[in-house]
Amino acid sequence: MNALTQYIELFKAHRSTIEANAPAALNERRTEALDVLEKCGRLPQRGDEGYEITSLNDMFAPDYGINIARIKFPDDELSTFRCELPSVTRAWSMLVNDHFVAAPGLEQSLPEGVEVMSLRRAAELYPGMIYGDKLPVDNPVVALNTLFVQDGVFIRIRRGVHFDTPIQILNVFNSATPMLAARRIRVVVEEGAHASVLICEHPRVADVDYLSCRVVDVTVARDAQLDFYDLEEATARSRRASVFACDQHQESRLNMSNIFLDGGMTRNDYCIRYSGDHATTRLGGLVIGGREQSIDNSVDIAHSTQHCSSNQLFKYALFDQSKGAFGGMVNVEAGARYTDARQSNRNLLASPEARMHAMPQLIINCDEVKASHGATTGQLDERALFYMRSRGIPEAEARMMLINAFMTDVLDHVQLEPLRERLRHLVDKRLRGCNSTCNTCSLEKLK
Amino acid sequence: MDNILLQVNDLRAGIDGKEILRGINLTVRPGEVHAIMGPNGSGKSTLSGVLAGNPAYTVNGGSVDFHGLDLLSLSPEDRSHEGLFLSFQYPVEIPGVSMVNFMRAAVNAKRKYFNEEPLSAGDFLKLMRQKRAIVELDNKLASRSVNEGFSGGEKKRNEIFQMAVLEPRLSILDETDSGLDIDALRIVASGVNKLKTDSNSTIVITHYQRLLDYIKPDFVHILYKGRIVYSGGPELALELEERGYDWIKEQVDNQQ
Repeated sequence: MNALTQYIELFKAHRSTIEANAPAALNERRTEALDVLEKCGRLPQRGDEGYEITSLNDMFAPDYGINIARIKFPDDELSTFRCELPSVTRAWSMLVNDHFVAAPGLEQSLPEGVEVMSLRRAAELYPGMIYGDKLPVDNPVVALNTLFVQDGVFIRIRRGVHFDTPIQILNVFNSATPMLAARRIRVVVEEGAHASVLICEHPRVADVDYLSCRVVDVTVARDAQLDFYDLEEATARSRRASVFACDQHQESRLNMSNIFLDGGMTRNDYCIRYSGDHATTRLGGLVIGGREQSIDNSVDIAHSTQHCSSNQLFKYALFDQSKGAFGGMVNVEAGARYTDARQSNRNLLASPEARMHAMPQLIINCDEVKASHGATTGQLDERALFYMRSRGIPEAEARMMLINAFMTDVLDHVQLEPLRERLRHLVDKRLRGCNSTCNTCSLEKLK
Repeated sequence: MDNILLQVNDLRAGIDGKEILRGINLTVRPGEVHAIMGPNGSGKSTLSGVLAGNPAYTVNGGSVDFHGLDLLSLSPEDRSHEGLFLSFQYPVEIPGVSMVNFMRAAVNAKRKYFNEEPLSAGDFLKLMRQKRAIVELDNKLASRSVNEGFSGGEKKRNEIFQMAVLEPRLSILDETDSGLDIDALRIVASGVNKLKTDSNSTIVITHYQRLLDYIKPDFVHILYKGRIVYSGGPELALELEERGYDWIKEQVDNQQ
């Protein structure tokens, strides 16, 4: 079955409803997205290049509901959710399905020059800012998201403002029936500004199918820095197709850490582009897969400017029958002199049925670059395991300590110390087999 | 079987389908020091690995009684809790696991096994400090990953440090002298001697007589082709040092 056709038909049939319920600036690009999708003809399937384990076609095929008429969901559920979060001043908000919900007192908790608001409102206030210049509109997930997006989060850090508190966005699903949410998160860090954003994903109900079709569209301006943390702790029946696109200007710095602890099927694309020299990019990925989960990270970095550096470190620990994939493409274009590009993917298969597909790639069309890439996939060191057991450490605990140790350097990338410790704790908890089916965000203690 | 700590009967074991131990018999009583010597490939390390429960080896027959327990049926961790300790010939490096976390896990696992509460942070640090002194181990090593970047001497001292913490009833020192210079050897041996009591026992596995100058054995056994072919007192070690293993090999090979 061609899943794409049903979305194109749905869009055509309901375009007026979709557009009537969205601001003009979000409607602007729908025609372009439709063209892209009609040209694609179909969504990528398993076996297409770059889609070794993920079929977007299968992911989008089920009959999900999309709330295009923007029917409001009862607030009582939200208030219970909200109650479980501490009322400490903290810059957080929620995306319920695709609907922006500000935390009580959000605006007061933000200093001057830091704005967190619904994308709908931003589209009215700053219509020229809601798309990044380097958003890859030809990516099918971006195009699908653009077709249906009606709301999302807009974060703007004005010039020179340093905001140390992470801005937290909780993504939740709240629907009794299968649902697709086209979520858009737009982050603009202006010149010399510095911010950190933490996104976590938690569905509310475990036995409903959800699909998060998500685009994170980031601009990091000259000499600005963004630390971006993306935590997925969903359920076996959730699906996620996400594109993180970043446009980095001169001397900008991006630190992105993606942590997968729980979910069903996930595909994350990272698209890093440069609009200036001397920018640095650090991408970290930590995956703990289990059951029949499928986790696919695909990186596409195009070095087009000079003196930029990119560093990728993705680590997977796969249990049970889980599958992982890592695709890393670094393209050093002609003229991108003095590029320093590093890529490392290390994977641990903790069960004989777990599978990993690693495809590190490096294309260099320029002299005077430093580049390295490497991928390893293996099992736990049996010698280390026996050594620990011979000292009395029970096998299960020894395994857990070794897997924790394996993961430790990805977490070292997390800049914010309390967040790092909290994430360590979550990873540890996950490895101990406590599945935090999250009615409350496990990061709450951070505050 | 009163007052016997370890009784090995006709132990047969191998690796990858190849038989290496072909019927080992050995009796160790509390307070005794046994040296097991033998040429390369005679099965010395296999014996220590099998006794400690290394899953790489397969036991094909025989029995091992460890103070009334069927040792071979116990997991490596339970063997440790019950008082067996193997000092590794090649201590394993474990990047990312700090020495202090490693030792805390080991100490508290043992306490849990005996239904005791975990050690408090303060008591644990005190214990570490005390035991480190026995082998003059640098405090800085505590925050480093287990054995990672340790010198040969530090690795072996670290083994004896762990032994001091776990207070085993039977310690098996597998080629503890290999890779040690004379000073490190003295520190390691003196550590072992400090830990010696009338109730615990030691099996020293070694190539050379050198270590036995420092750790005095009560019995010396010669392992050859997977069997203990000769047993004697400390003088046997000296004889081996003088004459080598050839006379033993000849004697055994002629008998066969």
